[in-house]
Amino acid sequence: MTHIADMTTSGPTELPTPTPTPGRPRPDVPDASDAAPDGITTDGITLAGIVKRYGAHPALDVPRLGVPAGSLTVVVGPSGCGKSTGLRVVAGLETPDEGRVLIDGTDVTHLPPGERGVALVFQDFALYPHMTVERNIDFGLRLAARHDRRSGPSRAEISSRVAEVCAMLGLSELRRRLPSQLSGGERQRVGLARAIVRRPAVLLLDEPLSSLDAQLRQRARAELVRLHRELGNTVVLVTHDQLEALSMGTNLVVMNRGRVVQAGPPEQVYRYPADTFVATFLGSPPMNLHTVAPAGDGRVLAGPGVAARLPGPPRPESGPLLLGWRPADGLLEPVDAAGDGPAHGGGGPDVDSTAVDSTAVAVPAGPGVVLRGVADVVEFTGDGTVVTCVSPGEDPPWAVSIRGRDRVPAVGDAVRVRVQAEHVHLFDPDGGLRLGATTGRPDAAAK
Amino acid sequence: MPSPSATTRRIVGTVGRHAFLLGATAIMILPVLWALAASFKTPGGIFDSNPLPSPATLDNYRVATRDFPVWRLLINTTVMAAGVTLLQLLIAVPAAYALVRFPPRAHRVLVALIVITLLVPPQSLIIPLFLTISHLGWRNTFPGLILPQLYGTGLAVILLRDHIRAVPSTVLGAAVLDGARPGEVLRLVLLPLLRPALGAVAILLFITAWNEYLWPSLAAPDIDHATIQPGLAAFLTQEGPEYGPLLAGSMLATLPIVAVYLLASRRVTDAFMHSGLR
Amino acid sequence: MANPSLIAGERGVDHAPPVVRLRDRARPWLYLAPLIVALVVWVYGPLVFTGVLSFMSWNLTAPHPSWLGTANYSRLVHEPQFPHAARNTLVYAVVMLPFATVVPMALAIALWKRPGRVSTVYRTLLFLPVVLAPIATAITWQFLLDPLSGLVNVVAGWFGVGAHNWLGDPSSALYSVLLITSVKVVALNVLLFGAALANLERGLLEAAALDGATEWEITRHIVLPHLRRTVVLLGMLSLVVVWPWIFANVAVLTQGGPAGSTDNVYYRLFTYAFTFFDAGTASAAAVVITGALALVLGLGLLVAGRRRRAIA
Repeated sequence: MTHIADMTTSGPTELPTPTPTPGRPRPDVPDASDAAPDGITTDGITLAGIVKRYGAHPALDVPRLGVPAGSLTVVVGPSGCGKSTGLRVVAGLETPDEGRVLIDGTDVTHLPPGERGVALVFQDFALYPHMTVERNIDFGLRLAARHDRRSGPSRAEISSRVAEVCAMLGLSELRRRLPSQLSGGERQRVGLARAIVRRPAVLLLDEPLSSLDAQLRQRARAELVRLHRELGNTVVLVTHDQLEALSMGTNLVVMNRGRVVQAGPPEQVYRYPADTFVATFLGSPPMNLHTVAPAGDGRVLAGPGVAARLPGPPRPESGPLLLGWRPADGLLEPVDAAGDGPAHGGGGPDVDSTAVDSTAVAVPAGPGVVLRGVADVVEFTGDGTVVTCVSPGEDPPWAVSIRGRDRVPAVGDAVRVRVQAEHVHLFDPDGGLRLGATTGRPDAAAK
Repeated sequence: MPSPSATTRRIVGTVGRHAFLLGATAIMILPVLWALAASFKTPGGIFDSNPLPSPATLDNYRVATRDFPVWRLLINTTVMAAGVTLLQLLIAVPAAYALVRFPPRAHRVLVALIVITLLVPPQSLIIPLFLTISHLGWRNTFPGLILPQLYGTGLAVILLRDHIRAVPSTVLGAAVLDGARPGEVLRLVLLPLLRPALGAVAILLFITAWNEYLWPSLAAPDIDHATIQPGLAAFLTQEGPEYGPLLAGSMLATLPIVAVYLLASRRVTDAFMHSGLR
Repeated sequence: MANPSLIAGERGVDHAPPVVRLRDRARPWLYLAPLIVALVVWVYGPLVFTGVLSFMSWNLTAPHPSWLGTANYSRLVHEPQFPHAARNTLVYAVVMLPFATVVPMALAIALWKRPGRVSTVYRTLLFLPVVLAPIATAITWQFLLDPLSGLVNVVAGWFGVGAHNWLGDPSSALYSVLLITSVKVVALNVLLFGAALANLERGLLEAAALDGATEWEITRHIVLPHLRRTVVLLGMLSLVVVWPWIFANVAVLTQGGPAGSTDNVYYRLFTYAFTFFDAGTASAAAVVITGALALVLGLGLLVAGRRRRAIA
């Protein structure tokens, strides 16, 4: 939580210029296969034109996605978004209906899973219940030795490799145990050991932390990141937990409904979400969205309880827009400091929210957004407080995070929040795509 | 606090339930217990209304084993039942594995065709089966006894398919990723995991084959090659109603299989409980 | 070096190498082959053979069959024995139905209501008749039903009922055979109803009990509707599994008599084939039996299917 908050306080100007990322931000851009593949290297994993259908419904439709070699790429999305299917396609447990899978430049689409140099840690760890920890770990190596007596691993090599990963993951004492005699965390480590003992070029992790209890999860997360650093191979981790997604990876892929919605470094995806789905899926509490319409000279946007003045040139649109801001970017202001609207000294439960009509929010003099509402729910989160507010009109409630020991409004208090212009995101109300400008970064869409 | 009438109703309900179950159980197993007791009675006491044998004697068993090749029949029956069970499992395990793990496009039709074989009355098959083994000169041989009984393999496939489905697919997927070939997944991972279910299905198949009457009576009519069921029937017509030795022979035909069942009853009933027949 | 043609996914083209495609296609059939061979050789082949034989005249002691047309079928219809056996078969089936459905269902519900060790013991003992050797049970019953000194007549005597020749009297022989066989049907179906009940969420019952439903109301409105489909299926299944058991009992106890009262189509078929060695007529009987059974099962499935759709 603090991690995200820290990240967002730094201004966007400090960000390195966004470079074209292997995953393209817009998946529905026609597949420009004849053009030079922008930024795609043949190292790592490349999915090209992958389609996997269950029935008529495509569970996975990825025109192109690259996973850089040596990265820890986190694939995140709601359940049923196709992320696990994608992982199973890379592993070879599912055959795609169309398209190719390349690993380090080799087309592996029709190679059996065991010959791809890929290992997978399953969500339930999928340990062989009838084998000891040691047998679980060396099963793959013993098979390799059997299949190829000449170049397969020797018995001595197998036992030294098993000993090595057991030492690495603290399993040396447990080698003779059966999976049923292990705790959840130990099972997870056996699953990992079984995967890395074969020294795969690509390590796939399917929700590896979701069956651990909350206490263990934090530690296991750090261990995974350390393991990736030590091994240096390509790791792909699938999760539905946005916190894991933001904190663990060097590369983030957001999926929804079988498609890749956005890919890039986690910071960049978090700060410049490609659409309202990414904007609201990442971050907790999620980004607030308000429907606003341009007013005056096009530099002013206004909606129920919200008014914004944008820097830069006027907006070209004449219709409504979606204005977004993260709860952590809002700053509480004294309610009647700007003197806008009827002053409710001290507020209180008798505040009549209908009295605060949309025009009552005065447009701020400088660039930025001003919101007015009434505190509805106040949640203490430990290192801060989240206040959910309601504005007049149809708009859904919005939330603002207050850090540390700052003064917290009581339920029913009138609330006034200011957001700096560079923390404001604009989206097209149809389809929710990001609109550029005003948000500190000239976006491709605004060209 | 429950009212007295509710408590009374509860007690009446419990008593009624047990009376019902006990009554049903008694009707179903008392005849067997009666026969077991009677097989130890003397010829004079066999129609006594006293259910317990007094004086008890092993004479009936002595007569049965002396006048009739009971041991030979039991050995024949064991070999036949074991052969049928083993062959059915050898055929059914890979088939069920394929139906679950890599179903061909036509697998629905295939499953329907397998289920249909369970519904065909065996009597409509016996004439061709009989002609076939006669033509091959297999009457009074073990191949003639065993092979045609493979017509019942479908049941093993259907039962095993449900048990294989219950194995987490991730475990089998892990083996595939570890580089195991389909046959190795089956032998090294699936079969060890399936052992309890396999045992239960095997016992069920063994009991069914052991109790088979119609086919062995046609395929192996010679008393030296016969199995215990038709053999007993022959004993019955041969000796007339000489009940004592007959009951002793029946008990010898029944007790081994009942012992097997009672030892593994939990598994056998569970094999049914968790099958797709629900 | 990037190979653009490798990276560009050629949509809609299955570019799996032919060897891979062949291997993937062939694999299931490799595993299924022994089963398919067994079922073709020992079920489907013989079925077809039976169909062909039903149009032939073949005394099994003669070397060759000869073509006969439909004469075997008309013999079946015009001889008195087969229609009589068919009527008996219908009586067997109808009287057996409650023992295949209502009785085992009641026992299964009673077992299921209070799970525990006692229920497990009951379940084990109730299944026992299925395990018992058919001939052994038949012999036991012959002994118990002995007209002079069998236990059944002894017990009947306590209630003032005179000695009766249960298996020797045409009016009671069929029902005696039926009741002896029904024990096995009940035993098997208690377990299968139990399997169906294992699917029923117990939480549902607790919710109903909290709503104030009585035991009977819970049974009536939750348990019984849950079992409706199972009743239909097991009723039909019993029509399939019961005949070998009835056959063994008839063969040992009555040989179809007295006066044909326990005869049925399955025993008739056996008699044609292995008493008279008339393979043609026996095959015709087999075809009629299989056809009738298929018709009944098909109709039953249709009804069950429609009912399921009506509920859904």
